Order: sequence, then C-alpha cells, then structure tokens
Amino acid sequence: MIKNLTILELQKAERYSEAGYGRLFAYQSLHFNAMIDARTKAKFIRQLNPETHEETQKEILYSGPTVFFDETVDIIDQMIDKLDIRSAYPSYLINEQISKPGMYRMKHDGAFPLSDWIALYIIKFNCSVDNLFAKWFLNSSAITKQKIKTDGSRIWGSVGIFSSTWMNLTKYVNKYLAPEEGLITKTYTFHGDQVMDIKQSQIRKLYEDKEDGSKESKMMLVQSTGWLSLIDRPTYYHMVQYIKFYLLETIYNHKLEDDLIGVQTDCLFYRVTEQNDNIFRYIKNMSLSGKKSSIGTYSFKRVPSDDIITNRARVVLKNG
Amino acid sequence: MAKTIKYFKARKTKRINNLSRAINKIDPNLKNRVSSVEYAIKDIKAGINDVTYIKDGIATKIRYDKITTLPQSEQSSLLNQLSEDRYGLRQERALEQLKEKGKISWQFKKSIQENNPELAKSIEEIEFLVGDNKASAIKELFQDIETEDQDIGDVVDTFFQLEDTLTKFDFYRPGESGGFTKLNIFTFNAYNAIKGI
Repeated sequence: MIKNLTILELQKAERYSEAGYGRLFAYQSLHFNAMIDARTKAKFIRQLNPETHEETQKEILYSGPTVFFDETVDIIDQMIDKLDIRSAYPSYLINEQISKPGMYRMKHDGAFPLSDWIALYIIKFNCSVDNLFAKWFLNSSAITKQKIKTDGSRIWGSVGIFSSTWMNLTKYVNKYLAPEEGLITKTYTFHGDQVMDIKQSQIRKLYEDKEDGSKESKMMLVQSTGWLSLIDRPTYYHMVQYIKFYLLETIYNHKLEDDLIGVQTDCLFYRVTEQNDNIFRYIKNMSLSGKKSSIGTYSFKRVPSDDIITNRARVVLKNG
Repeated sequence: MAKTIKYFKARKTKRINNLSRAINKIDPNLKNRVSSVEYAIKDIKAGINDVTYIKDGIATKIRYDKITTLPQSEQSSLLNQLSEDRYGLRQERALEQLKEKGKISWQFKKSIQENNPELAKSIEEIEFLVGDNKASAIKELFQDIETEDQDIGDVVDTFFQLEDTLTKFDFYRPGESGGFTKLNIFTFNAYNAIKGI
C-alpha cells in the first residue's frame, strides 16, 4: 500500500528528494506521495495537450545541461577563474521576472516568429563536430543513445531549443551555425498558467538553512528540482536552458569568449588575461534570482591551471 | 438609399496583397532558417512604397526594392513575420466571410491553397462541421465573433487561465461530429461559435 507522509517524516527517514519535492511543489498538502503527486500533475498536462504531449514529453531531444572543455585554448602555466552560480536552478524558480512555460502547448509548422511568448524550436542541424554549437547545445549522452548521429567529423540530428525575446538562445545558435547548417522544422509555443506555482519563501528558507550549514536543506534543494522532469519535461528543460542562456550572456557581454576553457552546468572556467583580470568583480554583482541575497550570484575562485582536471568532455577543480 | 461602403474589407485584402508583395522580394530559401527567429519583428506596416516595422524595439523603414539589401538574418526574420502576419490576416478574412456571407468563397480558398495549406485544411474541417446548414444559419452562428486584430497567443493565454479549463476544453474533439486538428484564430473562433462560448 502506498503511504502518504509529511515533509518532516520524509526528512527523518532521510528521503530528501521527496521531502524537497514537498517543500517546493506540494506544500499545500500535509500528507503526500511525491511520485503520485508528480504523476497527477503530469496527467493534467497530458489531458490538456492531446496533440503535443507525446512529442514534448517523450520524443523531443532537448538541449540539456552544458558540459564541455575546449582543448584549443592554451592554459599551460596560466591562472584560471572559476565562476559558479549559487543554487542556479532554485534561483531560476524564484525569479518572478522569468516566465515559465505555460500548461497549454501549440504546435506550429516551421519557425514561429520570435516574440515574448516562450517558444520551443526544433532545430535540424548538420555541422562539424568542433562547432561551438555542438559544445554548447548537444549532450554526449544523446550521441550515445543514437538520437544524434556523427561520423567523427560531422554531427547531425534534431534538438529542441527554447527561445524568446528575453531569452534569445537562437541568437547564439545563429552565431555558431551557418545558414545552411540549421533549419527549424517546427515550433511549440506555451500558453496559460505555468505548470508549477513555486512558492518563493519555501526555496529561500531552504537556501538560507543551507547557507547556515544545514546538510539536509542542501540535499533537499539539490535533489528536488529533478522532479520537474517527471512532471513536465518542457518546464524542466526551460530551466536548464535558461542557465545555459545566462552563462552565454555572461560570457559574451563580458567578452570572455576567446578565453573560455569550459563549462560545467552552472559553472564557467576561463583563463585570466590582462584584459579580463578584473571582470569577475562585475560578474559577482549579477544575480540570477533577482533577489537581495547571495542565491543566484556567482561564487568566485582563481586557481593555477595545475589545479584543474580536464578531459575530452569536461573540466573540474581537483579539490571539487 | 446609398449602399454602405464596407471600407475595412477592401483594406484587409489590400493589406494581404502588400504583405505578399514584400514577401515576394525576399529569397524564399531563407524561410525556417535559424536566423528567421534571430530578431523580434513587430508592427509591420506594408504601404505603397515601403515597409515599416519594429526590429528588437527599433523602428525601421525600407523600400520594397531595397529589402534585398538588408542583412540575411534580418531578411529572414522579416520574411517569417510577414508570412505570419499574412496568415493571421487571411484567417481574419475567412472569419469575416463566414460572418457576412455564411460561407467562404472558392476564390479565397484557391488563393490560400499554395501558401497556407493549413488554413485551407481548417476551412475544410469547419465546412465539414457545419455540414449542409444553409448559409443564413451559418451566418447567424458566426454573427458575434471577433474578426479584427486578434493574437492567438493572447487569446489562448487568457483561455487557459480559466480554472475549469480542462472540463471546458475539447477543442480537438468538439461534439460528436469530429474536431479540429490545428488551433489558430480561425478555428478557435469557429470552435467558440459552434460551442456557443
């Protein structure tokens, strides 16, 4: 028999993922079961979108978290700056200035014009494997799963990328892909109320507890956003791609593109040069959450290049 | 008594023609390229000699014969919005015909066959739904619908904020006589008219 528990009971049982779900997405229920609650919400969206649900929830390959290392940038004997967004996903969720995908989805053939509406563009591409588009927008796991094909020098397939006037990711796609390398085959636009009514106070409380050293809060905060993927993949990937957009804007607005050596989901690594030596001071003032708190701001670390580990796909600090 | 001149009707057709004129100036191969969504193009006004529009908040004016001198990414975005605007106007025109005549003329249907096959299909679906009803009955059914300056995004955004949306919404299967396959201004207004919403 399926048992409904309270948030505190789940915390006690060290089921932080579900407890976090309760804090963020099911705070109106005293007793709940995260899996059933998530599936109920998913079912509602499915009923509302009989024509698009199968595609948006199952078939489309979305551009996921950004993970790459650019081996062409010389970093030997250089200093490296690491900028890491504090609680990136929760920061996106609590920022009311960022619209989230609505519950109703409309399908359009070809490219729907860019507007304030959230739009998901399905881009058919064929480019060189070294193209920055591949680094920024494609996930190596998709290649493994054969959703994207490659012959070693070219890479091709279709990928879903969100865009709107205030989150113009296609501007960057267009920067990387030549006109003949990318075609928009269809578009989905999102309307109506957003899928989840996220209560800011719940996230902020968790974040503040985490900052005060609560391990439980940290676990809840980190593990809870993954549930969004089960409830509604477009909402989850909009969050993931907004972080990608935020990183891209940070890099291009501060002219760091030539010194960027890698990205790890919500974290940037670039080599320090005379020109960008002090840029981090400006970047540290930015906040993804739009709140007067450290949530959503960049944490900063400068390390010698010996202190980072790189391989073909990723870059991380030796000491984590 | 003098016959009333329905000025807006001619104006709409003229607007469609002017948009077509601008569309024909742009390389059709640019359609659906990624660059076609690089800029947000708004408020396009296709006049006698030139086209004015807002590109990412900046007012722009260009003569028809100079459109091809624009950067490809701008032409591409402009082509995309021009096509969308024309599609919207054609939907309004189709609704207007149902409202005023209770039927859609074969000339109009022929004119959209090539460039707006989706709308042609939507018209077929509506004709199927209204069946053999007389034009006067269809005219009555559509008499209260809105035919001017509607944005499908705004319309559905408002509709899907209703609390009982799910119980009310059966757009893709209205009644027992089939449904619509494509949601747009034309089908959504027709749906509302048929459902009496």
